[in-house]
Amino acid sequence: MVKHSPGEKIQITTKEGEVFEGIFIPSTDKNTFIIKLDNGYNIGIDIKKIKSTKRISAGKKLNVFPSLNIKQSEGLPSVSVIATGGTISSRVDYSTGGVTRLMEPGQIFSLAPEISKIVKIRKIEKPFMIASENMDPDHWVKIAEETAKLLNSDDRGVLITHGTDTLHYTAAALSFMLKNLNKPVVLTYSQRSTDRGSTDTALNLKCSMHALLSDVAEVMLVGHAEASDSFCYGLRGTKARKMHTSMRNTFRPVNDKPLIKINGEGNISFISHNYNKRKDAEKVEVDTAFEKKIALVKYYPGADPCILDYYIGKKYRGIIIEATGLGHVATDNAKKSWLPAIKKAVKKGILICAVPQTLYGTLDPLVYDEGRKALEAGLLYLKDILPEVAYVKIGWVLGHTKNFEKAKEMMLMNYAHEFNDRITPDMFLF
Amino acid sequence: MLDYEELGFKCGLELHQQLSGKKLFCNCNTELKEGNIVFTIKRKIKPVVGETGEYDIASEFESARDRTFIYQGYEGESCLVDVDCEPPKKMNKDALHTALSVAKFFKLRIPDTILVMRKTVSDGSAPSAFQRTMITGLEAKDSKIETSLGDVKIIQLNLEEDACKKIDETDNVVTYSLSRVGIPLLELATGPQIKTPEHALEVAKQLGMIFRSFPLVKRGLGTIRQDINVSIKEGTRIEIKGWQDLRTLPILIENEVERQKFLVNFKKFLNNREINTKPEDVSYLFKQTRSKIIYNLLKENGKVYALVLPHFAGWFKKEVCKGKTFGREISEYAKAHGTKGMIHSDEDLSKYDLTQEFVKLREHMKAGNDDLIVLVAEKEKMAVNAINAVLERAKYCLKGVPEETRVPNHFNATSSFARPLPGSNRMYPETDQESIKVNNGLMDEIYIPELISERAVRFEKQYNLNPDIARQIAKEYYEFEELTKGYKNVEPKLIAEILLNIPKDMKKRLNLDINKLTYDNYCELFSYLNQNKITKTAIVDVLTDMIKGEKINVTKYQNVSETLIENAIKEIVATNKGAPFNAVMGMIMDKYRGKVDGSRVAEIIRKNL
Repeated sequence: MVKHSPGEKIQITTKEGEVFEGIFIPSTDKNTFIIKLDNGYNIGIDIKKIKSTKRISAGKKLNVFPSLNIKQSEGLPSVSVIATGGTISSRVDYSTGGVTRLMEPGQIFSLAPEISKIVKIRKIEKPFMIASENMDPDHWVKIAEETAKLLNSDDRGVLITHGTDTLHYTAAALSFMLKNLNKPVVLTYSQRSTDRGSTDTALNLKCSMHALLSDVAEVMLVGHAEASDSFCYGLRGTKARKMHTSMRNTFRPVNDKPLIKINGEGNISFISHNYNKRKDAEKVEVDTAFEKKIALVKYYPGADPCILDYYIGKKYRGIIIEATGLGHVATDNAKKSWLPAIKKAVKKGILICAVPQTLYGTLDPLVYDEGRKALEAGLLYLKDILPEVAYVKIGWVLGHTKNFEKAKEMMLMNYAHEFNDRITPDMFLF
Repeated sequence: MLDYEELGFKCGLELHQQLSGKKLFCNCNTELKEGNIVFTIKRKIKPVVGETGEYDIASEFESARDRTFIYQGYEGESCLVDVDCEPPKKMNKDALHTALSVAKFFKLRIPDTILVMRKTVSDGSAPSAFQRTMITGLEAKDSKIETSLGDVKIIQLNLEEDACKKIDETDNVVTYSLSRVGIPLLELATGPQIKTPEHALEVAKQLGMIFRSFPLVKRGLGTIRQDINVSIKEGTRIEIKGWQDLRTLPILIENEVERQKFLVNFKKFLNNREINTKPEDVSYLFKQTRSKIIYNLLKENGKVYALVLPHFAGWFKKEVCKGKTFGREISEYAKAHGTKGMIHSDEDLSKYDLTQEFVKLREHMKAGNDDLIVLVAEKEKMAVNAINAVLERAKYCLKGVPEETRVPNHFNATSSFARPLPGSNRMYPETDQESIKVNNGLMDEIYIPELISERAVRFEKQYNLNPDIARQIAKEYYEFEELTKGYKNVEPKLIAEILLNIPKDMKKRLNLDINKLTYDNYCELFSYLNQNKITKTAIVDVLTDMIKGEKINVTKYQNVSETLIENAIKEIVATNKGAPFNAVMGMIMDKYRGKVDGSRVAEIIRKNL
């Protein structure tokens, strides 16, 4: 059989004498030949049934990630973008089934043309292009460095497009790594792919651009506030979490309220007034020292404490335990108490902290005996912090000190609003 | 009568048939009850740049309208999948099997691998802005039906998701119900071999009958809809979407033919004379207007735009087809931008209090007597969009019939402009679904049911039913045969009679709500008859009690022994000497109605008189 290239117009004749014409689409299944018929439908023909194929014409080259040729307006405020991958900056290649990546401003404009009237996109940095589940702390460092570089230019702010799965980890990492933040840093995303007219991307991008022009010099996660295309929230980077596998309003504030509410027309209302103001003249510092021998462990009924022994053996320096309720793990009343392993870890100089697996609310070890016992064993209680944020924080803290007591002290310091001392009922399931 | 051959009439149908069961890609039901609203979601549909780097014309048109879509979700009938907040679940296997068996019936070529596609939908009727669809059958040598005017080819069968039902539309907000979106839909397309509007009806009826022979197919109003493609020589292919009334289908097609003929004639009349006029803001001419609507609009910063259409005078009064003037037809292009309509000089202007203004306007715009003046009064942006749409449409009159998608007006069997025909690049793969290999294993599960027409013929012979009853039973009551087997002592004829006519008759005569009767009620009735616990004469009484919700106590209707009846008759005859037959019959039936068979009573009376 003749070899065909994607996009080529071909004709297939089967052994039974049927004739099909269409665009050749590469198939991942070697037993199936796929063509796109003139009416746009794809069909698969069993290779065994094909007698011959021939090329009719070269066909057209398909533009996979479309780009709008819009002249950028010089008079508009300039921003830069760091594209890291994820749904927002990728498109499925219709002809090969592969994924292609966002490369140029025209492609961003193709997602929301209105943006070209809000900002000028000076630069698009592409330090790497990966799905966010494939990221690790090295990627956070790279993003922090790129962000700092861009913030210290004339840009009004920096937009980071990112996959949703671990977006809140990156947001937390940037919150700790960018010191004396001078301008808005906005992370945004797309929950539903950009090929569809119902994509959330357009509103997210528009609101993000408006947020970049605001005076909120914070690391913010900007995206759909509701399932509807109504408006977006700007959420604090240390107090947001992905809470739904697929809904557009997946990111919710936990033990906090949003900082701002933004609509597509650029109207911003402030929900919190506790934020750092823009100081364009100042320079941001990047502080990326990070200890990677850290772990996030979930406690659950029957959980074997030998998991801690594993990390102790591997010479880990910090462990975050997602504890039940007000901060509990199995104690000496249980078959498998975690207390001996915790004590052993502490003795070895491993920083071992508890965070609430309930996510909402704050820990309190003093309410029940079990809590007091764990406290005595040396578990450090991290109040209302999110588990993922605690994981990032412990890496950052241990990157900065080798001193156990100092590290404990730093873990309890409120660097980036990761603790909220005043939790109100309206924050629950906000 | 038009000579359709002479006209170069071409017509093909696309039938859309809903299936029952679950939705195609989620577990919501397809009952369309629309009970409690459990959620509401608002969306904007963005035009998406296609593979070629250009926007699709239909979605760009939609985007220019800048509409907001509201979707209402109902208990049990809508979930996250419907509003594109969750990837689709695995495809409904029953629906796929039905599609494959329909494809097999029509001898279509079933693809070896079925691939689910996303078809771009820009009018908001799909919350995801696409409809999932797949080819389950392609034209083959023998894929056709025989009709009185020759064979009509069947060229494609798709299985797809139904769209949302529009509930409400105001200025720029359209509200849709989510109950219908995602219901499995078979889309069957015929070739253009339909020869006349009446022929279209014949084809639609035959295809409908075939569809209804498949068990999962839904019945009733709205469960089958026709899209009609019509063109004539010098006209163009027009797609009219969503016709639901079979009876008036020929009139709809006739009207479309008339419309295309009109446009072709008008093109000939214009004879390439240029239209080089432009819309003008003439608001200041209306400052003193007596027209309340325009006065109020101007007060609220609205604008009045006027446009001269040279040589159009008189034409807007004419009918493009029965029941619709050309002016009305053109106003639909303005309405597509949210306006309430337009005013033109072919109308009776006194009803708007605008006679004087138009005289001034004609002078101001230097319009001749042959020229028509069109006016749109609205908020500025809307007025500009609308008047430009009218101008563009008017210019197209030089070319003839514009290609477009139209929606039907069921009240007078005409159609209205909906949107331009979508471009070709509006289909791309549904990456969230696995492809389906149509192998022997799958096809072994596919069977073709007996057609309703075949079943009717068989019932007529096998159960000795009259042809009419056989046809109706075959069409409406799948359970019939099962019942004849389950209740062997009840004559099939009587079962048919009970299913078909007795309740209808009860409704007519006794004004009872027969919809309350359930299948179980009928089974209960048949079981009494089967065990001879009641006689035929008790049927109406038993059904009546069932409707009233009364407990059925068979002794109430129990057969009275013939000896007892005979004794009662003898007694009546003895005490009422010389009483005529009817009187005796009346007295007996009054006393024993429901417990005796009238014909037996008559026999006994005759014997004793």
